[in-house]
Amino acid sequence: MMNSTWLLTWIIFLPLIGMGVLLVVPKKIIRETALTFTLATFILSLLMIPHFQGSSLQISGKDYQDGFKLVNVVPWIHSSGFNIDYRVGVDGIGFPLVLLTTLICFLSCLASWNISKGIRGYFILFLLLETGMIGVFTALDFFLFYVFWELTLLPMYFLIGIWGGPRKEYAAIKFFLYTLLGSVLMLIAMLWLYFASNYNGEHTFSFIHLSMPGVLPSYASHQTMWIVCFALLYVGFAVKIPVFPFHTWLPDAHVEAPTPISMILAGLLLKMGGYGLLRVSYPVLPHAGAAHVVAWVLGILGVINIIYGALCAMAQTDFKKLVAYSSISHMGFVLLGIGLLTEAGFQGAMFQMIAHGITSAAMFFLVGVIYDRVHHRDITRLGGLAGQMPIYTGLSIVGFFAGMGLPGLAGFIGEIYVLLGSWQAVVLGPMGARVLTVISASGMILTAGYILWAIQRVYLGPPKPEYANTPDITLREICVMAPMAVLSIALGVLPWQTVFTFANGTLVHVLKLLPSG
Amino acid sequence: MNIAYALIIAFLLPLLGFGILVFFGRRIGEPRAGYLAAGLIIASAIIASGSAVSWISRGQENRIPVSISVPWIYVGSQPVELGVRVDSLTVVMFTMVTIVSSCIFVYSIGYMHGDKRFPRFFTYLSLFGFSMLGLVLANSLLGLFIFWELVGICSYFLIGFWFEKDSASNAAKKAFIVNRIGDFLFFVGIAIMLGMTGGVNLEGVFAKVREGVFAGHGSLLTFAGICLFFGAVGKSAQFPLHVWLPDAMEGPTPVSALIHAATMVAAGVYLVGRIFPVFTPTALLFIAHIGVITLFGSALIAIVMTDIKRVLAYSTVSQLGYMILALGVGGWVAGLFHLITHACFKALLFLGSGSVIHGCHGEQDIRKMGKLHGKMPITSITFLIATLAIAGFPFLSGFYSKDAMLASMLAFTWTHGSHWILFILPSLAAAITAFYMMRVYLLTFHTTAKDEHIYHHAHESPKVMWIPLALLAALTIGIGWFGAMPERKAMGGGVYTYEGGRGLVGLIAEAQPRWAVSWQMAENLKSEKGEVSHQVFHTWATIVASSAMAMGIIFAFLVYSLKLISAQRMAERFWPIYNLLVNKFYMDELYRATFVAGVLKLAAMGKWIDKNILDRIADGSARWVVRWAFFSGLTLDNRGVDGAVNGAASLALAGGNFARKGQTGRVRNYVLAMATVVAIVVLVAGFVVR
Repeated sequence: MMNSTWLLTWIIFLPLIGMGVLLVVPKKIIRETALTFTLATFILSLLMIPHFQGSSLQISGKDYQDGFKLVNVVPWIHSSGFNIDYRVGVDGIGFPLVLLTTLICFLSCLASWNISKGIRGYFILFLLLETGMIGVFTALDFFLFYVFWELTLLPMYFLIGIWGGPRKEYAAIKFFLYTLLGSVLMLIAMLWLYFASNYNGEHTFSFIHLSMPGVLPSYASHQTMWIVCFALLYVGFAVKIPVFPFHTWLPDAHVEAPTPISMILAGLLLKMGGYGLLRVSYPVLPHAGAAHVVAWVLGILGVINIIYGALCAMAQTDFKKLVAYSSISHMGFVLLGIGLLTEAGFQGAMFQMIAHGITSAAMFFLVGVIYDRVHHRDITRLGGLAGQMPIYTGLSIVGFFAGMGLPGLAGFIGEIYVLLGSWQAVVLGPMGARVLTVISASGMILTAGYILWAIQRVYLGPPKPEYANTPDITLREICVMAPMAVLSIALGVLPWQTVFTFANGTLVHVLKLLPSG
Repeated sequence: MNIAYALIIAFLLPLLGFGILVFFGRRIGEPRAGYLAAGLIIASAIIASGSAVSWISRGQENRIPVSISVPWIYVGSQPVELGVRVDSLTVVMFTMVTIVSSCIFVYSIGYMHGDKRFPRFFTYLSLFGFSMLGLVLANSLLGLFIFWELVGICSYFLIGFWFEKDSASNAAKKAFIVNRIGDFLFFVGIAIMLGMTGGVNLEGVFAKVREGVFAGHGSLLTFAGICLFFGAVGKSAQFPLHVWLPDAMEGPTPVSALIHAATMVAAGVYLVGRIFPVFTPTALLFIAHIGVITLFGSALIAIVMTDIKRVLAYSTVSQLGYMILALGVGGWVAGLFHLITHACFKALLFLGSGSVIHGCHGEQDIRKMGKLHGKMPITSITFLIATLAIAGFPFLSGFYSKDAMLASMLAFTWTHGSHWILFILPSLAAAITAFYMMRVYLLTFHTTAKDEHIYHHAHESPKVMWIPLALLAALTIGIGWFGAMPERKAMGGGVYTYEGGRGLVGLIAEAQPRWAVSWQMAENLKSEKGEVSHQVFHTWATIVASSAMAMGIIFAFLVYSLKLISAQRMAERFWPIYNLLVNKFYMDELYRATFVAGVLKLAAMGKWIDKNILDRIADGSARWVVRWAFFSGLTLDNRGVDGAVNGAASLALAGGNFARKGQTGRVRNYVLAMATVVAIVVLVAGFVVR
């Protein structure tokens, strides 16, 4: 039916087709239709797997530039001096994230079952969001990337602003403005890079071309441009990750967003930031990334994220806000791993993105389950649920401990990779790297602190009479949670087979683009 | 080779039990869940014993350490393998863990009878067994760390098993977090080792250290050693991370037995033994001093505790301090030998106390017990055996191991005269140990019954509980027999060989590292005072240990049996000391006031910064932009075009409205603001691009 050139395009736009279908189907089967399309997208994305089988060379190619698979190029806008192509493709960085996206979208669609208000609009926006996210993870043309990037913004804004909690307008606009601030800066960098580039006599938006040496003016002569562009891009991505001090939109957005949207927000949208660094910042501007000042800034901000996020999480009494801050803490590992430019750090950051995509989605879902039942999220008022909801509690333990970084579960691998990598980082000199590593490793203690404290206050303790008749987790909810629990374990036990085998080669290539020493 | 596979199977059996019970536990129900878990661990124990027999019978020259690894991950480009290593120490530990665990599992079937989460208990126990066996088998630092954490999490579940009690869930949380502090440093140690040696496999790390990759980084190696040791400080409850262990008594008593005897706390000592070659002399001295502080301080606290399990808890901390100290002064064999003997008699003590608590319907205060000997003779006799063993009564297992440890301490202090405290305090603590253990025994099983109600209702425990007691008692008596320390010979260049060991001690000694950064014992043997035969130290250690034991026991009789000295009066006369001890040197309070309060304060500060600084900046600038937009959009336009006065009024109105509603946000306004921003940016962009 379709050959593999168009496979990615199908994956990207299938949700969009679903969106069209949703416009016309009767109201009764809207949910089922949306679920069908997310499932179909997920299954379709599984068809990418055969392309990533084989030896490391087969998976990631000889160089960064020829590691892309399923590339599909269609000329798009070629007028008034612009060379814009529809160019999509995946490599070891994009592929796992696309799979993650389609999976989490499917699961959160299933988690959206009890949305009752305006379901047609909800699922339409939901599918639009999915297209936008897959687009971001597959676009190889900067302009296209930017379009998809902005495309995720709008549905998210409405999904929070309409289906959210009491302070939804505030949260939605805050999310919108923060992201917009970032993307505007990204736009400047994009145009700047475009007009500075010279690929066979023409300007180019292609990430592949931009990453080739010689396409951009040399670092030696245009140091300011490199550093400023890197900084502009960085802010754009840092808002998404989110990095201190651009993080305050996240707790608000999460608290107000409905559960499935929180799952997507934490599980996928935050990954766009880390992905952007790996896809755009470092390959396109390698010399800037390798500058000492950049490494120091990113490293320190990563550490601040880890520690500060964990501390803030500890102080929260809103269960969902606690989980939101834990995301900030965990995403700090992504930044630290990338910023210090070691192979292990890159691997760890990539793994952490996947693992956090699963565990944070799981944690938000678990919070949502209890919120649906007791209609509040105040940790201090919860308690003793373990006796009343044993299955739910068991699944929660898996989810939260995976987030905590318990060996054998997903969170562990990313953290130790990042820390082992950053210990050996050379870019900051031996002492600097070690000090940062030790400080961030102490985050292990804080993480255990806030997670166990939360578990104690929510699940343990004497059973409370007001929750006596709270029903345990339903079959549908188990269906949402079980895949994430299974994946948490699978990723923790077999990290190489599940993630690294795909991503490792590409990450090494990205690192090779950087000037050594 | 085959022995390694046999042990791997034995190691996986509890995991199988866990897998079955976690999904079908409730359906399997009581007591079959217990039979399943106990059956599997007994099967492990049988396999382990069989392996041990075949290992012992193959002759020393054929007992070559076996290593099997499978590739797992690459950290950067450094391969990390998961694997097992089997040598004599592994075999001994594995057998000990499975046998003691078997006793505890079987005992638990009786003890946990009627608990509503009976299957769940055995689920956790199985996972615990699996994790501990993995730790024993692991051949790399990372493998150790993984199982290390798993052991920690199992202890969390088990200590907090009765999670409805706040004290239990607090204790569980405390245990895990305090352990995490140790784990954090352990991890830093691993990072150093990986960074310097390029691997985490124990053999590889030792080889690299021996080749001198740390040459010129001696203090880094010391630091790494101390970091790794801190893992053990957490798990083995050494000062200053010992505070979790007494609280861990909140778990069901079989859990206490498991944690305090065969598994968790043993892990720390085992770790120190396993990674011994990387410790520099400074690191070892540090270890020794941590050990001596722990053993003496906790022995003192144990005197004044009145909860039967807490006395045992502090005695565990104290005994672990002995082991750590012994390892620190180079008494590798002695320390690990004591680990094995201690596992047997401490498991027996805890199960005995569990039997008492079970018989007294949950009462744990020894002041309310008494005369139970007549009511529960089997418990009483086995408890007495264990008490005498821990006190170091001649010809019981504890006697041999304590003697060996004291000998190594004496040998060390003989040459390192300035560290005389490393022998004096352990000797004193030996007397104290005998005293407080005898105190518990006398108050519980003899002397007058203070609480008639408890006395009348007390009863002997069922068979399923006392059979494990009897088995452990047999081990407690006999495990130290037929052993002899081997002679060590220096081969030059920091390499050693051992000859002539026999029995259990000889077997452990075979696994002793044949090479070390520094071998303090060897140095001190040929000191300026001339060569001293090790036999001399043993003789003196025996004399010191036995007289200390005798003094302690006699004193206990004087106080609690003959009542010649009043404990009450003593407490009143020395009230400052008594208060200090009853409050455990105020360590908990100190930590709560400093670390816990500090972290919570920092956390609150972070929350405050987010809310009052960062959000204020964000909201404020949004508000400012909007106001500016109104100004340009309404004031300038309207005035310029219409010149109407109304404009000013409406601005005031709109501005006022906005100022009030700025936070909840009017989408329209924000979009206006946004459009302004975009316009500016596009202008700037156009400028830049050109």
